[in-house]
Amino acid sequence: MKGIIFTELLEMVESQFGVAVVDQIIQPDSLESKGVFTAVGTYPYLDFLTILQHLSQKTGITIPELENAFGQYLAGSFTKLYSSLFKEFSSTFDLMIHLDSYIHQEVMKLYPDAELPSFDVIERRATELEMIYRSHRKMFPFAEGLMKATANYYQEQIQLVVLENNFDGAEIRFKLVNN
Amino acid sequence: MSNHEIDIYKRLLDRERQARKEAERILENKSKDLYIANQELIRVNQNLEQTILDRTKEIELASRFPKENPNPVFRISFDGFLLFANDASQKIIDALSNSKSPGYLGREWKRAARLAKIKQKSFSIEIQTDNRYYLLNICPIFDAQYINVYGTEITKLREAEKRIDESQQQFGQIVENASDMIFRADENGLFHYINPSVTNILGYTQEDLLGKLYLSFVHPDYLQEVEEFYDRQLENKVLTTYYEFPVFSKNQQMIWLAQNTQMLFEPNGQVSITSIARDITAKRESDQAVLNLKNRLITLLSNFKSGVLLADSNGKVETTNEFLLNWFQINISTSPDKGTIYEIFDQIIPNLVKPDEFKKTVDLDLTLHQTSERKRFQLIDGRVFDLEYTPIITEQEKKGSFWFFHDVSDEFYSQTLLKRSEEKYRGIIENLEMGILEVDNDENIIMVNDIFCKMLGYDDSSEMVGKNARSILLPENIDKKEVFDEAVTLREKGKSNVYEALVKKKDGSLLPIIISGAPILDETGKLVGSIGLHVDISSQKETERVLAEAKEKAEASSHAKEVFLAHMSHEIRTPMNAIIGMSSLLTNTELTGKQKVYLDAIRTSSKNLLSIINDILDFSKIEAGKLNVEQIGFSVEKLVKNAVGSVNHLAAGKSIMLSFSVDSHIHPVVLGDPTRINQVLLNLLSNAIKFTPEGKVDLSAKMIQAHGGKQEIVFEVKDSGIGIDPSKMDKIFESFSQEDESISRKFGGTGLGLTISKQLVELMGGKIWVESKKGIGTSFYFSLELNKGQFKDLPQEQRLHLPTENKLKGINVLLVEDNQLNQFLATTILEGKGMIVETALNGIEALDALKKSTFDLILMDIQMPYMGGIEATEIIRSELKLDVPIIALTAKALTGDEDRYKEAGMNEFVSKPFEPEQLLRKIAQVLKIVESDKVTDSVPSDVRKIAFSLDKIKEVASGNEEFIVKMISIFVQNTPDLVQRMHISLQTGDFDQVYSMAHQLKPSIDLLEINEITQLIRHIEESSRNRMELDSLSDKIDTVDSVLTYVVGKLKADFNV
Repeated sequence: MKGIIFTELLEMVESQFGVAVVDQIIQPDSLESKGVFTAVGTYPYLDFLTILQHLSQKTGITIPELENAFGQYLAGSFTKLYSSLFKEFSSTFDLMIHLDSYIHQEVMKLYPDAELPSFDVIERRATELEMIYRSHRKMFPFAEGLMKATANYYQEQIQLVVLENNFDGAEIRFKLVNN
Repeated sequence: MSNHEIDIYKRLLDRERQARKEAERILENKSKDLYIANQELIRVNQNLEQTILDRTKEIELASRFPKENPNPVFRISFDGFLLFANDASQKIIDALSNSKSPGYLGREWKRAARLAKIKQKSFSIEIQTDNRYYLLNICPIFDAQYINVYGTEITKLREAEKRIDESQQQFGQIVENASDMIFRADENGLFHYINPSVTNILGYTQEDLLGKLYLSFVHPDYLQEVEEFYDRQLENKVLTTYYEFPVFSKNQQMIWLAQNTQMLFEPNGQVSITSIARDITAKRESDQAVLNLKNRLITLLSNFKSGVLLADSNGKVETTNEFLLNWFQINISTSPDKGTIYEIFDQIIPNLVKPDEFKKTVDLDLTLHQTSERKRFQLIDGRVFDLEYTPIITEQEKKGSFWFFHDVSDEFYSQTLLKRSEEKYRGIIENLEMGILEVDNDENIIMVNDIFCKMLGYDDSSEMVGKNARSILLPENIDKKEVFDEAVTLREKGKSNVYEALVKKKDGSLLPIIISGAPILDETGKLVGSIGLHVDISSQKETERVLAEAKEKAEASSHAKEVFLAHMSHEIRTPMNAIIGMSSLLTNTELTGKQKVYLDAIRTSSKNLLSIINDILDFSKIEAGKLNVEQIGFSVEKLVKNAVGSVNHLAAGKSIMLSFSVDSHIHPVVLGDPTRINQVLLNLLSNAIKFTPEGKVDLSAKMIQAHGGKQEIVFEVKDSGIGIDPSKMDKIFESFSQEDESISRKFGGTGLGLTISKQLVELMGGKIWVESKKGIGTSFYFSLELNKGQFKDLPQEQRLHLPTENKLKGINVLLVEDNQLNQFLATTILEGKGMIVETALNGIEALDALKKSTFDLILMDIQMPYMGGIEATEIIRSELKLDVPIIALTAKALTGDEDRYKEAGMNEFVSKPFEPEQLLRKIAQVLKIVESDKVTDSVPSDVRKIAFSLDKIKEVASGNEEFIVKMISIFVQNTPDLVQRMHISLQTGDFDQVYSMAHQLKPSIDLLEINEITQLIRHIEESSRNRMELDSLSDKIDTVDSVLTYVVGKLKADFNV
């Protein structure tokens, strides 16, 4: 898992809960990375889950909620970091349609070891976009947060409806509705 | 800030520091990667630049090709503007350019481009400028919309052509004046030029020939070949040819031409033909004469029945012939007259027995050039030829060589073969172990071989040659001189023969030999003597003698065995007769229960013993081939019924169901040996009962096929007994074989029963076999082919009935029997039936008794002291001249005995031991006691069905007895004849006659109401008239025959007509 996820997560925790909570949720012995993260490095997914668990225990917020919140937070960082990329697309639908075919491919050029979920378009209509999310990491809440923040970026009212959940969240059919 | 907070921040700082260091390390690695990638890019770029430089240079050099081309090359757009032109094309461009607008070459190019587009290919034009000629190849390039023009300067070519034109004019002069005929024609063969010689020689005018087909002047016989020849030249584009052929001149003279023909094939496809012809008529005629002569000679040589080889002085073959090539199997690579003699000799030489000698001979021929003597050579395969050489010399100059190869194999072999065969036969004769003797007409010895000398004990031939053969070889006191005389007579007639004789040896002893004698004739066919081959057969004679002796001994021993068996038979049967007879009588007395049981045991045992003895006797008889099979009429149904009846008592003690069935297709009367068949049936039945503890035993007779007058009948004896083990099945019919020892012990018997059955069946020409399953049951089968018989074939005995007591009462019987017990037995039986019995102990006593009183019947034992039964009978018949019936009572039961009894004058015989009933039946038979009031009962069951009635005749006669007798006598007289004729007509296929006979028989059958055949005779009548169902006709007629035979017999007896 890319280091930016860890650094952004810890930044979010620090900004929301303070540096003490950061210190508590990072227990170096339970982490392979020993809690040391840099945005340009790559770290085990398990460390990410461990930190989220610690955070959940600490704050009483569920892990999906944490993921969702983190997704929104990270999207905010992305819009700043990769603003030119966001400007290439005209809307949330436009971005989502090109997520697999363009954005993720560019990511893979920069980080060949990145592990990314797939978003396949099932059907596209003027106000609706039906897609399937597939990832063995089952981090759809995180994706949901990202999509929500993205809609905000494009100043759109997007509603997300989960249509089908298979394999315990590894495959999720959902649709985005633009009102 | 609390300490706790300080700790948190310390840890945070520590993590951040570590993170920074790690980030720095990652970035450092990334920058290194970037540096390397950059370096790689720079290198690739440099390579790329170099490649671009190289390519540019190449292109530049390539682009110089058209510029440097010495021939004009230029490119024009489809609009007609000059796009490119090299230096060499400058003059052409100048000439083509429109001076008003330089660079524009005009509309013509546009047209040229269109033309090229239509033609789909490039084309050429020729232009002239400034005394120079150019050929321009116009190549339009459509995708680029321009025309490439490639020019070639052809100025020199055009100049050369001009010069040729000039010289052609000079040649024309020569041609016009030439003495040979010169003409030109087009590709179709039409003249368009002829020189004056043509008109001179052929006599035609220019007008006659020009525009005409040259072939129209060719001699018609050669027209086809000439046409083909020149067509071929044209087709194959041959530039020059030479050909000789005749043409007709204007005054119809044949002129032979030798013609050289040149064909020029223009690039445009045109052909111009130029011929130069010379008149060769004179030369041709002389050549032809020589050729004809040569051909005649070659034909002569080819057909020669000897090999011929003619060569010129260089050894080149001029002529050879088929005979030579075939005889030596020579292959000549080219044609026979183009090879060399060496090529031929090389193929002959390897086949020769003496190749070097042949080589030397032909070399000598070629060196000396002298006619040679014939020399003989042989091939490895045996053939032989003579070689003859003649040089060909004209005007003292050697012109060639000529060899003859004569096939002399036949001559050679007829000589050598004769010599060889002589040697061969001499060798064979000398090596044979045969004495050879040659004599002249006076029987004086001319030649004798060593073997014959040795055979007769002479030292060598000198002792014999010159002497008279008869006097030294013929034994003095021999009584068979005639064989020698006969041989001499045969020789005089020129014949040979083989005979056995005894000859005298030197020491006077005799030697048996076989002589094969043949006459010797001289070349004129006159007898000059004879020659004999002699084989010593003394050892064969000895062998013969030993064999004869052995045979005699064997016969003697066989006879002794027979005599022994006869005695045995007699010795055993005599007491057996007493035992069985007495016990039989005993049953008629009053007995206690126990006594009855004991008596039954005695009877059963003695009967078993008798059957064992009979088995052994039968077996011996069959083995000795002394058993004869009879052919008498009998009823199968009755036979089967009786057989089952006979064994009923065997099954009585067990819970066995005994049954039988007879196929209705079996003819009522068949011919065969019922006694033997009965014997087989009894054997099989008693076996079946013996080996079936409980269950079923069934006897059936079936007809399986019929043809002609025969029926094949299969008897089956089927039981549900213990069965036979499969491993023992094939041994079951062997002598003394029961399935195993234990069976023998348990069931008893001699083990001969099946062997005898098999031998009897085979003796009757039948087959016997068995099918069995252990534990389920056994079926014994035998099949016999039996002739159909008629009722008249049934023995009289069967029509007799056991006489009632009163019929026998008072009959005077003389019983001649030496055995007291048997005498008592017979007396008891006879007296029991009211007969008066007088006894005699032997033949002498019997004769005495006969002299004193008369008897109705004599019962005569055979073996008796002082005088036996046979001797006594002979005296009774020949001396006393009495015809009183005599029945032999005999314990001898060997075949041939019966004949002896009859020969002696006895009427019948009864074999001891006998059952009382048997004896009584025989007595009734010889005394002809018939119970006439019960005729219908006495005929066999089958015949009982045949009913007829005299009612209708009586009705017609209305009480006239004489009329009835007359009617019946006519029927009795005519019927057998009609039936007989019906049989004959059927055999000859005369169905009209069959119909006629049936038609004649029909009213009588109706009248007598012989219901069994009233329908049948109508069938016969109908099918013979319509020629239908002819197959069954024979059987139908047979049935009618037997029924009518019975009726006729019955009527004959009843009415005494």
